[in-house]
Amino acid sequence: MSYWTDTARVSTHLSPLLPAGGVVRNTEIVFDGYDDVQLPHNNIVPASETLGMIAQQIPSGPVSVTLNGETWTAIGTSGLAPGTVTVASTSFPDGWYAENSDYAINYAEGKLKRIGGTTTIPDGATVRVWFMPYTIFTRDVDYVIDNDAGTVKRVAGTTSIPDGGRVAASYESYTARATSTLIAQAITEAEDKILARLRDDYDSSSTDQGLVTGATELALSIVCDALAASTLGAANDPGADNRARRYMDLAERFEARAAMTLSRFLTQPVRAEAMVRPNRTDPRW
Amino acid sequence: MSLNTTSAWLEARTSPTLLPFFEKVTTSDANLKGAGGGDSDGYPIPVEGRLQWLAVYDGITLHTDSDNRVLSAGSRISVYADNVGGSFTVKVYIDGSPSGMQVTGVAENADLFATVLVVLKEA
Repeated sequence: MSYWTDTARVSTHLSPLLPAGGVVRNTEIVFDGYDDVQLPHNNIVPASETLGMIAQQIPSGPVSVTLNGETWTAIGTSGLAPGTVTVASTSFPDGWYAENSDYAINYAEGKLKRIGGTTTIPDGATVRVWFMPYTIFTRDVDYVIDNDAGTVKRVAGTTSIPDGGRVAASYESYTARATSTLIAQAITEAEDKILARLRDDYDSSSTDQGLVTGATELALSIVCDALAASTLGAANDPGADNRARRYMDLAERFEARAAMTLSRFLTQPVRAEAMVRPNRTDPRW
Repeated sequence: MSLNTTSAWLEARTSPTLLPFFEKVTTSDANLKGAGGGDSDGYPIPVEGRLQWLAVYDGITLHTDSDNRVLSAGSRISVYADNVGGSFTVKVYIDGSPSGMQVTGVAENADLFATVLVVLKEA
């Protein structure tokens, strides 16, 4: 339960600090037994991955397809491997047509259509199509994935991925990630710190804006510390060190700002033991 | 070769083949002889193909014609020199009939070397 700030408020301030992740397409991985296979990245966006492979050596076809107007027409097989579809006017074949000029393909659904304005395929013509079918594997049936670690492995007993199979993996990865669980925990910790030093004339039911602002700033500081730690562990990310350092700087700034905002609500901080140290101008928690 | 793997596979399943023909002509119509000395009815093409090129050399000039005519499996190819008065029109025949592929102005009283290019599709 939070008293002054909440996940939505903290997330609003946090969103500009989280850069968009990267999209990886068709990186090849090879499965070895039922061992974990490491993807090039960790922190995979849940449900963003697809694993697929071309499972045959020789193209399928020719399939005869009649194209009318600019209507999508199914060729009879869904899931086509990109870059493997050939369309021609005869089965020899000759009279070849060009993708993205004469026709467009929906690879996932296995559909074809003429492109108005540029196509040389006559309206109503029957064309011949060759292709390589593309098998998309099913999560939790063919493979399981650990999104945080960025690993995948075959599922014993149910997988249709062959042992030693070369699979194309596509996915989206986070550059930095602050889950709602992390934010909620940070709010709990921040508000506990505030409560521990709250002056007697304030309590958890106080509604002063300063308490809301200060709790938000302190929670952001805790989240930025966590982001710094997780960024240091990012795989294959040459900018991780620099980004972690920036998150640490932000954590210190939010902490200092929180101390200033909350100073009028708190009792005096406990003095540290006397020691020789450089002067600091920013208040510390 | 195409970068599309399917197109590359399809291209690899076809092969160009050259059929040579020869005849010493005078001024009369004549069938040019092919491999083994055969002429007139034609050499059978065992698989589907395309007739793409005719070249005739009469000792002076190289005469050529090109197209992309359909050859069904079993089609028979022959070459015929038709005297048109002062020269020959040399024609490719399919199953005993003119295919439309021909060259004109070929010299009389000459040794005619002709080659026909067909592209065959793997069975």
